[in-house]
Amino acid sequence: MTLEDSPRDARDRRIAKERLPSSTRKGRVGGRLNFVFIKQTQMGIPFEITLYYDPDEDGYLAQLISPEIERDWRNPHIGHIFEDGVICVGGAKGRASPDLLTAFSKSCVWAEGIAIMIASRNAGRPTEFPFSDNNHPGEVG
Amino acid sequence: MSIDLNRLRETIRQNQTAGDATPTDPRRQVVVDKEGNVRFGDQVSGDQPVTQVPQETFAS
Repeated sequence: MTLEDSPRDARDRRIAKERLPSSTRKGRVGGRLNFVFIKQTQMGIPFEITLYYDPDEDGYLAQLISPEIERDWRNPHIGHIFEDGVICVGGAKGRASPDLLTAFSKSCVWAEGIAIMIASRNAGRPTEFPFSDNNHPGEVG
Repeated sequence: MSIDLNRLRETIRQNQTAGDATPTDPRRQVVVDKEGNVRFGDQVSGDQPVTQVPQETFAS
């Protein structure tokens, strides 16, 4: 805990220490506490993702830092990521999860899914996002 | 340990179709360990801290 920490921040730091990857970096951006971690996928593509609480969205967001996702895939029903890099971890709410660990766990599954899309496209066999049954038809490409 | 990605896709899609985002059967649960590795609930031991992943669709 630091002098800047709110009770929520202190709780999230404790959860992060116990349940997020040991290499997770913690820091503040614009006064907001961020947890940045690397997700290694089975397709061999690493993802850098930041997790934070956004009071304006009343929940926790998972935002992709890298790699760059192609523009056509940045759609909630194609790559399941918004234009600003926020991953669709919120279920019915779309963007925000109710807690830090839900945002973390769903972003890890999302990374495995988008890694399959990237690897399939690179192999010349484009496929849809594999882990959601609400993809738009004709989205493969 | 790696996960069978085809089984993962089938499990998540079936649970979404059934409207069961948090199944109680460990074989149908998807969990993430501390390092972000995705596993099925029947692949982890009780003393290993994991987070169960809600399996609803990724956007409404």
